[in-house]
Amino acid sequence: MTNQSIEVIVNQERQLSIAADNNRLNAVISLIDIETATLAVAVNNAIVPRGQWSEFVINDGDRINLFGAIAGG
Amino acid sequence: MTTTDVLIIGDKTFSSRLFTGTGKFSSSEMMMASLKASQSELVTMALKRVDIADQTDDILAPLVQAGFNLLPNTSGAKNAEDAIFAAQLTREALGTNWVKLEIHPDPKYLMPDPIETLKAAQVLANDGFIVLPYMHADPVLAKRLEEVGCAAVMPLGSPIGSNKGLASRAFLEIIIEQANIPVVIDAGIGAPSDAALAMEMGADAVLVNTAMAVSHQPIAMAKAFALAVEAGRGAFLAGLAPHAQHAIATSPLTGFLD
Repeated sequence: MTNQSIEVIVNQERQLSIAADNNRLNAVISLIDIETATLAVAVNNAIVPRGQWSEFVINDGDRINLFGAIAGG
Repeated sequence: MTTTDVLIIGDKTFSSRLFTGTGKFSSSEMMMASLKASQSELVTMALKRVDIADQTDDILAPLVQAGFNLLPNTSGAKNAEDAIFAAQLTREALGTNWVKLEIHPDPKYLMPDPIETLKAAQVLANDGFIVLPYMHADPVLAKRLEEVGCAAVMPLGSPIGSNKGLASRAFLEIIIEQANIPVVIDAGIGAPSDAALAMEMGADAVLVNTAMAVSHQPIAMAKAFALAVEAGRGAFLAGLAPHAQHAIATSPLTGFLD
């Protein structure tokens, strides 16, 4: 079953596929070229703390949102 | 003014009473130069879903490197639930439990929603956040926010970005008089004279963004604001002389002609 894949939506815009046997949040984040030091990640509107990214299991259809700091008053 | 005149909010001590925003500067370099010129020690920022295709806005690294304390806001939140989620995201992203609680459902005037703000403030304060709520200049609300555990209150002078100064002056004076927590005048401060006035009235600090960022010379304006805040604070500590209805001579009136 190693060729099965999981589809997720990242930041409401990009659809990504990951292998079903590599279904951890870390795997999704590593597919995106992004600075992770100051990133907050939510899966289906629940925040996943950085320390849990490598264990957090992603399921087909999950909505993953990545947040970072921008200028503001 | 002596160096012992410091401002304490939550777990931090500030020697500058000028807080600054990071929005609307023409470039990251201009922002950094202006913030340094302002001598500010606390800067605000916002949180946003990352644009995966175009990650150009890395404002954070230089700010952290320069030693600024961070005050992330919850701008974009339209209710308490949004704001609580935004605060939790900023804590995760930036590693700070400080939050400028901002809930403004209406984009035209960006008036802070008092009911949702109070609700969110209570939840966040109980969750260990250092909460600085943006609020209308409402003395009753200021006391309620204090009671639920806010570390300071941030009443507005006039609408965000309007540069109209302390339109709410009479109510700011009541808030300052009644507060047992620091009062930071936020929003609408359009000129150094507005900032000086706020400080003369006894505000503990002011937050300035637009007036600096959109000036023709932001660095020079940042310096002007720093001087104004220091002057206003010095005048407040010294104690302003009373107003009088009639003239009171500063020279002896018994003259040499007598």
